[in-house]
Amino acid sequence: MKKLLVSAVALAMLAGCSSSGTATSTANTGSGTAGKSVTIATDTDILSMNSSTSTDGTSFIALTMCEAGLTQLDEKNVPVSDLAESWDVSEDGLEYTFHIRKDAKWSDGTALTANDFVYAWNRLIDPETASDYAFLIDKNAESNTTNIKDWTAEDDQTFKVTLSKPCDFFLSLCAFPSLFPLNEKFVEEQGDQYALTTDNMLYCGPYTLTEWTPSTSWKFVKNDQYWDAASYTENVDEANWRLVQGQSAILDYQAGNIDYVKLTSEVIDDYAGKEDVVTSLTGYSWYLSLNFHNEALANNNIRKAMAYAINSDELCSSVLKDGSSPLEGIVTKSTTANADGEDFRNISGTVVLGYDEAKAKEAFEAGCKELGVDSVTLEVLYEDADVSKNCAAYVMNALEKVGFTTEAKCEPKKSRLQDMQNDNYDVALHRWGPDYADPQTYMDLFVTGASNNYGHYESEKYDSLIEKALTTDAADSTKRWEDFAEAEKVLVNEDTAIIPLYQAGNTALQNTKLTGIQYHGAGVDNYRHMKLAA
Amino acid sequence: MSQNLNYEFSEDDFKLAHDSNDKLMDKNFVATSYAKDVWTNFKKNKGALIAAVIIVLITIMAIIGPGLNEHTFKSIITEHANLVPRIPGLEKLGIFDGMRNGENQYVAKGFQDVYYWFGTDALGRDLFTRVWSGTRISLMIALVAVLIDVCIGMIYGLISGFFGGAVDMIMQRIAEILNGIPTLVIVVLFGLVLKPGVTSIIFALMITGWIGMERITRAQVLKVKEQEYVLAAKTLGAKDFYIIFKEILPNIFGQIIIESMFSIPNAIFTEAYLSFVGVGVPEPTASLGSLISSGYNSMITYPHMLMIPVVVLALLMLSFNLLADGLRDAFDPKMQNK
Amino acid sequence: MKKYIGKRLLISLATLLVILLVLFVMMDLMPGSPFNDEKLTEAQKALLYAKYGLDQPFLTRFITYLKNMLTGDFGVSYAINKDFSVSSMISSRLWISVKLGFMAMIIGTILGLILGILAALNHNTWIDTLCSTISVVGVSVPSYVFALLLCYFIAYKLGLFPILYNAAQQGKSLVLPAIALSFSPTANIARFTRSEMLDVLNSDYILLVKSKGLKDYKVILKHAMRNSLIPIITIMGPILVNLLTGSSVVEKVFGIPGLGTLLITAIQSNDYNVTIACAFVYSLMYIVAIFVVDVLYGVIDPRIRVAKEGGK
Repeated sequence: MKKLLVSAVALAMLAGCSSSGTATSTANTGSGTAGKSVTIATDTDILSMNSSTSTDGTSFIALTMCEAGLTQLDEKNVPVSDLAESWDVSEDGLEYTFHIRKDAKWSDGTALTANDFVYAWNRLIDPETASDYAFLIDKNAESNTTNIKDWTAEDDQTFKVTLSKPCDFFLSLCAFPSLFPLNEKFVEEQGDQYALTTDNMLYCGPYTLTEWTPSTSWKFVKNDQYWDAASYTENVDEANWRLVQGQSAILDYQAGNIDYVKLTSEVIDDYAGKEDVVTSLTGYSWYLSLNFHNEALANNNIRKAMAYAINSDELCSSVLKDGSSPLEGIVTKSTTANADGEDFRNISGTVVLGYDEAKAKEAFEAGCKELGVDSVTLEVLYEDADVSKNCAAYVMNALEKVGFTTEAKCEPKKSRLQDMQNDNYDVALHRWGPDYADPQTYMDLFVTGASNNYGHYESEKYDSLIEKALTTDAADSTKRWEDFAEAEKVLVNEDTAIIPLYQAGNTALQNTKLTGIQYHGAGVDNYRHMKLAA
Repeated sequence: MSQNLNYEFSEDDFKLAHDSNDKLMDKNFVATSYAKDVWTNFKKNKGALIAAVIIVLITIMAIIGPGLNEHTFKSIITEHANLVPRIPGLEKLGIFDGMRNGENQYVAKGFQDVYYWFGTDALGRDLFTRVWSGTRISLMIALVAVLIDVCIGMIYGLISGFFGGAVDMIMQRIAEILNGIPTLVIVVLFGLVLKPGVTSIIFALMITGWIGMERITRAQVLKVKEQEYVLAAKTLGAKDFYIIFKEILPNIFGQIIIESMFSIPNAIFTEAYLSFVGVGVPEPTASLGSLISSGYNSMITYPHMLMIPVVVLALLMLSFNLLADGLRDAFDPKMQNK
Repeated sequence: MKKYIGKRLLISLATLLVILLVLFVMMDLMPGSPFNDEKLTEAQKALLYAKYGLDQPFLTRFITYLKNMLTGDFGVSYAINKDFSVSSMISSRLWISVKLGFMAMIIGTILGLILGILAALNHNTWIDTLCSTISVVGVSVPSYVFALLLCYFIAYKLGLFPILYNAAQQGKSLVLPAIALSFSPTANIARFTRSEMLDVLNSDYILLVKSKGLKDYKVILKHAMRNSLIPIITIMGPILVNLLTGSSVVEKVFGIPGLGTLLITAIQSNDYNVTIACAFVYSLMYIVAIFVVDVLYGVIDPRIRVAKEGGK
């Protein structure tokens, strides 16, 4: 018996002292490598490094690091040149001719040509690929977001794109990873294995992906072959991402092992005012989707009562506390820009009803009277993320103060989306992120019959305004935005078909020596220009 | 050496080894019923007694607690968010005085006369009400789940053990197969398939919880089946089900009670785990599990949000376990002499 | 003996098959699909379903899955890491979780034995209650609370261990998580040891040995221990696999890339193949553990063997 004990203890100590790991993950937290190295904690994983099929923010960030497109966005959301050295735009805005750089190379040494763009774009819209983002440029569909008609490679260095109607945001969309080039020979060779490991990809961006342990960590190292490598000498040599989150990640940051970590709303108060707290706004618009198939919600007064009942200011400042800001309409702030660089929100102003408890109660009573009921019970559907839970609790409380009865339905995101698609909800806490820097990405959602119009909102007035913006006024940027502004008013103010709540913010702890992270609400956050002070 | 056989023995040389004046009397035991016997033994176990008292106290609090102050479990006052506990009488003693990092939170925010006995959570809800309301839900879930488990498991075990043979073999195989499925997976999947709520949690807990009960019951039935009074009943012509429920069951009931006492903390704990994974009771209803899981998010900044429900949970689990241990010892005749 | 092993093997295989069937059915019942992204059109969804064979009838899919499984192909992930082979995803994490589980098991067993024996030897005294309390506290406080407490006080404040999982120092990174995980097995083993020891200590042959004049500690070590330890083997199996499942929360706290987190993520993202494969691996480990324990039990305790073989 004693022997058993002794050997058991010895085993335990051995297990504890062994420092030889299995050769699976090789995540490095920046110790001992030459040059400047940064470690970033993220709470979402890379879904796919295949630019034709990836759909999530983290994959896009990774793709932006190690690949490149025709253009890239600078700090002010203005598209500047990347792989396209320059471009000519025809007078009528229907023809774009891109001049690809002669020294653009793939990481295996082959030259990067206009044909790579043709191949990649064809692949994106290929029905076999079934890409989520085909709708951006699908020339074979009835219509596509950018109004593209066709594209060709006139020679190795010239890539020509023709549109059927002008598109204000086409150039900034060229910075989107779905439109990045692909080396046809390499991709076809790899077949099923393309982009599954670091060896099954080619790189043309400022960094290359040198290590990737799925769902754990990934590492980028500077790419000397990048056409602009010369301007990257001051930037970090190595960037590590780790999939960790929560309080232990925050502790690791404080111990100096991580340079960037997201703060949860519960702990934000304690870090308020500290110099390494960084707040930014994302482009996510969180709103309440109201299902018009519900008898009570079909009543305008009931909907108005709900809108008046919720105090978005208090929601953002006391509940979320992460830099989120109240929405003035459904379109977010600082994410859209027209040709003159103006923000759509400045043009449209404030269209939400605002918080007014007295008006809320009034509208509620009026609505009940019209419906002939004494009470209204609504089921509130939301996902099981902490942020949504807190927001939903607040919203339900606010509604109840005005007279509603609420029931909670908390589900994982997929189930929530499924329920919404199956018309199985009353009120749902939903969000929309912009795909490009134009209000159209939001306004499209609420047209009659749109696939994302879960609430079945139907308004001729709204539909005709949107139609006008997309057809008649397509060439006139100012008129187009005016149409959108009016439509937004109808949607939010007159019909209150949805209730915009807040624009999601992001608060993080960032090493004060780390600079250069660029946030693009309507694009992909850019980590290419990170610099680490000594 | 020669023995001196002429030794004169006196009166004092010999003393009685035992006091023969003590008549050997049987100790008179008052005739007690089985239940009273158990109770007497139980009382000897101090730990179990204290545990029983604690359970009763907590149950009382769970019933009356939520009504003790003006807050409900879901009322939100955002200005009062993140406050540490402050109790009117005790604050003069230096504990529960609303102090955090050296300053009185309440005074600093301008709330001189506001008191939250257990503090508030991140949204501004009163923790005192939420904790007791949550205890209520947790206890309810546990009791219902265990009750159902006992019924199913007991009946399953009784039938399987009594009839034996092919019936037993098939039933046992089925139970074994069901036991082989990892509960976590099934329970979480159930939580996703059914509408999240108290009913689905009880349902999920039910799925495999009865197997432990079934095993104990069957083992006991097998033991008792061979006893002579069962044989006697059979000879007298008693039907099978009569024997099962009137002869065997009362004799194994003790074990069943013990096992159910052990299952209760198990159920509470599984519910807590489910909450952490995300398939617990929906907002704003609180259960001990969901309180712990949301309190966990503030652990390094406001530990009271986590610690208070953890203490209540720990007390409950501890008490039920000690109680069950005590009951087991009390029911076991071999323990009587200690 | 062979008959006994053979029988257990058959049961194990049957159980595995049933488990697989149940999992398949549950996945079908789950709301949502793995691709239910808001931006896909119906045509695209139909294409994706066809591409991955999800539009086939239930039985066809099940049989195809079984066939593939026998060659080690568990399909690809749809929603976690697109098109990655599930078997490679699992194998890289399995090893870490198993290591963590074993470490927790060893710590738990040693501590549990000590606590249980102490409690049994001092039955009904304050030591008994104290030991019971310690072990029950270990079970009633969720492991992730311990995990974060250990992380905060020992890793962060004292700096003795890495705060988050570090692949370069794998062994060291697993110590705190293993300790956090070990509280539960400690409690279970302690309680079990206590009751078994009490049973044994009260039995007649111990009384005999004592009346023969053998010293107390020798009584325990030589006689009581062996007989009370045997039943502990029966609970080791389930405890071990419970460790592996319950470790998901501890893994999350320390950022350990283990099997538990993969399973939870898979369930929440409706990734069929990964969920089924993970759940299956767990079930497999569980069944194997039960099988090994049953056989061991049969080897160690001849009464079981005879009883089982002699029929009922």
